[in-house]
Amino acid sequence: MPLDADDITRLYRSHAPGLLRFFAHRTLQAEVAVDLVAESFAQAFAHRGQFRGRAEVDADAAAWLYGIARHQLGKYFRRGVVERRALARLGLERDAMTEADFERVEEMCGLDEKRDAIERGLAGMSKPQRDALALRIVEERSYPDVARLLGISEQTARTRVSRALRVLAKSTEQLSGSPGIAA
Amino acid sequence: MLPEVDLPPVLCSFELKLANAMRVAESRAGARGRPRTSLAAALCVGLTAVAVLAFLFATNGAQETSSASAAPLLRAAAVAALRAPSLLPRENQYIYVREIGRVPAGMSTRQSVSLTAVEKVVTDRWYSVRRGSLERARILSVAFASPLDARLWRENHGQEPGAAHSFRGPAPRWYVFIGGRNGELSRRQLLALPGDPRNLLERTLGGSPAALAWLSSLPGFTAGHPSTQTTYTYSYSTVTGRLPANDGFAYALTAFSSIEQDFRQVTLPARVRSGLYRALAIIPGVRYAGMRRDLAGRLGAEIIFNDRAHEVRDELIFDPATSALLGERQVTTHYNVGFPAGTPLEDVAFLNEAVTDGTHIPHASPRIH
Repeated sequence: MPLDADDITRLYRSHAPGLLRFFAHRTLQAEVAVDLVAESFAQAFAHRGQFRGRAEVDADAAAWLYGIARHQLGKYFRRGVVERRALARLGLERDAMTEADFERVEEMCGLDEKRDAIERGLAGMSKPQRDALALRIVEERSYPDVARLLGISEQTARTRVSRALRVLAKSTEQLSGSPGIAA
Repeated sequence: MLPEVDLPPVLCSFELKLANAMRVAESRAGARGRPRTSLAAALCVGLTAVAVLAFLFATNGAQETSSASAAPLLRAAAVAALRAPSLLPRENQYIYVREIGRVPAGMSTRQSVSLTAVEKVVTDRWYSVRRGSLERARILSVAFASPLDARLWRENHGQEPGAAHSFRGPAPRWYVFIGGRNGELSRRQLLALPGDPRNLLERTLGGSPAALAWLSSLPGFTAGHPSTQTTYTYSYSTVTGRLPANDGFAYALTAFSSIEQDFRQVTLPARVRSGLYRALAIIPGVRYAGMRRDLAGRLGAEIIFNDRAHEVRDELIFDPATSALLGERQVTTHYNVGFPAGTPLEDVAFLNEAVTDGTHIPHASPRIH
């Protein structure tokens, strides 16, 4: 059953905070997270006709909305910029962010804490592990590329990245707002 | 389901923009599809309208008021208020205000007082400190609950649509309920008002030790930087056990009502207007009730305050993106002076405000404050 503007408004009220955390935890940037929330809801309105769940069931609508959110996040990671296609179609532009906005996002999502935890995690791993992690995760190189660039075997590259991720996971697992659908 | 946490102001104002844009997009889509509208669709629309009318009749206009924290939207409006221009006329100029209102009228019978008619009135007002005030009101329409009500109304005291009256009054001072004597301030006093919400609340409540102690106990109040006097009063009250005797409702009501009145005054410096929005966010019991249309059909954010002393709910509709106050309502929460629960005792939309040199109606202009 397609959604209408009232359904999207209801979704916004119930899921905008969770979606903001979802994006903030993954991008660690308040402004990007706000833009992604805005574009996701504009996309939800643009594609409201494609919703096949039951509009009155919050879980159906939430799952659909988070599907859109993941898609937007993927596009952001691939291109490095937030898509604004649906916002432009609706003629929408969000207000400029003030200091209060940044503070609120940081407070809601514990971004400072998260950044600190990641810094701690990076500091707690060896340089070879950090290099392997940067090449594989940040630069999105393939394992054969990582191995070639570091002058090691592909198996060793996989082991270093795996160990580095484990260190990082350990340093961030104690955070209250660790990523998750309901975050 | 409403959010349990306060979103950043930028996402609160975005909600309003999104809601508006979606409505525009849906109405455009509806307009494009109209020529192909089938008889079945027309019947559906008709049935929906009947259902809505039946609902309104059954609930007597009462609205669901599930509510959430108003703080993020009020903070967004406070930021917008700083950017908005202020209307501060010279003392020989007029402030012009046009508003449209819906006023219920009751009629006493031997048995009871009942709602018999609702007048829709457009009012133009001019105020000048040196030149006095003028008010012109015209009845646009009168709606009756039944033919009998209409007959009784006409036979007794009712005014027909089109009837107009005007009233000249004395010259007012700038009437702001922030620490002035009887609410009246000179222009100099008005311009000297602070923008700090805590200071504004202290002045609004008159600075009595009990009121200051109550203010100091509010989370949003102490989170900031209370004045030395407030800190001292609170510490003293805590040590001596002289905390406010009531639960603070009377102070909250006084503060909300005063600020509500102040918002209707267009002569507020931008920083004071911004401070008042922040002050509203501090008052306990002020809640966000969702997006609502005002009497003129404009969409805005609605905040409510339940005045249990008078059994009414005060509602303010404002645009968080511009800080403009769009409308106000006062709705009965129980059977009250002859009106059933859910009856709007006051429903006003503010249409235009301007500074004028005389008592003429200015050309339509964007609403500013």
